[in-house]
Amino acid sequence: MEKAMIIGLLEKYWQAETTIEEERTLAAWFKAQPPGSLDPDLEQYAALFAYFDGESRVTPGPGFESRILQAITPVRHFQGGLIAAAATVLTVVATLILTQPAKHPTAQPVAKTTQFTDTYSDPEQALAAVRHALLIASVHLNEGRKQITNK
Amino acid sequence: MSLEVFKGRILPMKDKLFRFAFHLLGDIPEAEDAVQEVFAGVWTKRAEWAQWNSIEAYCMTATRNNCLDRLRRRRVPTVQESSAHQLISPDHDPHEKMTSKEMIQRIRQCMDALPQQQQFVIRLREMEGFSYNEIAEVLDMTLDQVKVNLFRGRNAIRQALTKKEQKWKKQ
Repeated sequence: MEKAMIIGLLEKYWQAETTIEEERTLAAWFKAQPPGSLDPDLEQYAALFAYFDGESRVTPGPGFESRILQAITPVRHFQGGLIAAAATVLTVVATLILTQPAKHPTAQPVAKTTQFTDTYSDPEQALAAVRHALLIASVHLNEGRKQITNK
Repeated sequence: MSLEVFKGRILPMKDKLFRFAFHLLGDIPEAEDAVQEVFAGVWTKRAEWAQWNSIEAYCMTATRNNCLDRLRRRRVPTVQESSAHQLISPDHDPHEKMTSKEMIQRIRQCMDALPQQQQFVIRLREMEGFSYNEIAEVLDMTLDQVKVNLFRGRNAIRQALTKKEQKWKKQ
């Protein structure tokens, strides 16, 4: 009875009319047969399904997954984030400096229509402040780079 | 976010893609390289993932194309015999094992001798359990072409098996 069903399924299989479920049934049936118990006319097909089964279990070597993850640039992703963070810090620091009130206010009143005022009257002092801000940002950036290099 | 999607939905396809690449290239390190390249390519296109109908179909197609390019460069489009396969159950007795091994060897030779499209269709169907629609998408074929290739490929193997069987019986 069971064998008749399998032979029927095999006929459908050769006609490429079986469903995936029916093909799984065939493969599972052949796999479950004890060695030497099959009729010669079915034995050859057992080898065919064993071949497919073996081929479907081939897997890549160990460490393949981590190599892929390395290849898709998580480090670069992190570096990109670091650069963006450094740029943000720089922008914030520069904004703070530029919007800071002047230490030596001039006698002249600030025009009401003016949104931004100079923070430094002395160009040397302004340059020194910008250099200081850039130095802070540079130190943070280098710390981040060191962390990456040490990993 | 993209990395989570990659790890959760794309990375689990690695074995399937590797098998496909390995069957096309017949070389484990090269198959791994091919799949790695495919994943790197998919990652660079992460902004487009939402627009793809099927990430799996895209990956399979990219793997096929990558392997075909490699084969063209190599100019040796034959699949080598793999020594990495342990296909026979250890429960079989030595004679049984020998006979099955010979038969499987013949099946492999027959598979390798099939036209490339028939090989692709059979591998995706028999080893990866793809539906006809999925095969059609990956291989850029119509459903009828998929069925015809599967029919012809299976029957070529059947004939080879039957011939061998008859030969053995005569001996």
